[in-house]
Amino acid sequence: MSESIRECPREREALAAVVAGRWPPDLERHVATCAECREVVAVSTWLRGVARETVVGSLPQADRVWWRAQVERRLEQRRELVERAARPIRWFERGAAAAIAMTVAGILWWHGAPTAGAALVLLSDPATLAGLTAALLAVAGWTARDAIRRP
Amino acid sequence: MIAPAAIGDRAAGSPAEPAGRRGTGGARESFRELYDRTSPRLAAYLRRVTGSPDWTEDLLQDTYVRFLNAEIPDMDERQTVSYLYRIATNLVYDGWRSMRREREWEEMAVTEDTPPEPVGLRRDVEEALAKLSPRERALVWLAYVEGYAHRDIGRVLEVKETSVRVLLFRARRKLAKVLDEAGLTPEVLG
Repeated sequence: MSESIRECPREREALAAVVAGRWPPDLERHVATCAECREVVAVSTWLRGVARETVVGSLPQADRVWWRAQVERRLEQRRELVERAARPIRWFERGAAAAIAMTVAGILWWHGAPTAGAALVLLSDPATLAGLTAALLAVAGWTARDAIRRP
Repeated sequence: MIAPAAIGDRAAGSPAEPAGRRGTGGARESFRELYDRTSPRLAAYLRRVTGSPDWTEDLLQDTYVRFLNAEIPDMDERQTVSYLYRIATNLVYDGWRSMRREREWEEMAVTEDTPPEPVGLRRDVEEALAKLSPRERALVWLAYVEGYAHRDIGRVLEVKETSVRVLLFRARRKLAKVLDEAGLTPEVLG
């Protein structure tokens, strides 16, 4: 299936002759006997003919392209500005969340023993436990429904 | 002659700034000259690699817009053209990736209206080129129309130079066979 690559050292010369349209006699004789060079000449001659005949309808005007580039660049700059402006807000949000979490942890640590004791007393009551479970399930259901609805 | 550098030289910005940000009137004029010099060739490449006239126009615009807003160092004319081909080829690849199947795109390319071309050539050309994969079309075009060396083709298509040698040989052989079978082999000598 795999085909071994065959190259001739004069292929570039043959291609240059196609481009220039001038054939030195020795190169012409060589191409007549070299299958690789003949192939290069046939393919390049055909392709160059195709290139000459290729009509690309209407090319956009240079100025139009220029202005589009300017507009896109300005939009990109604006996106960067918005991104940069939003950065402190995001840092503030993260900082606030961290502060709240640390405060809650501090309070729990400060009142550790009484809070744990009170929690145990409450959870030992079946009615309180059932109510707490129901409340947790309701919150979980509400959150799941909200997540599903979100596009 | 020196496209992005010329744009940069006339402007206040540093050479590493996007080409489109450098200066105003001079930069715009430099771009216009570059565009007029390079866009017909690039359009022909895109037209034959994609097979779609409408897509060609979109890709051509996107290529130059991306070029203008890219942060690129100073380059000479050849490097600039090579860079444009690279952007264009990447955009073509991105387009193909975003389409669900390549066959869908092939069908679209064949059925779209095309601008008038010499009678007898268009269908032959479309059919012959359609037998090559998009990458094969890009390879043979860059090698035999643009005259790019293997190293330059590798840069444009983001393929190793050694791989270009193998891929180009196979693409050329395939196209030669297609042309031979279709009776399109040109009279090359005498």
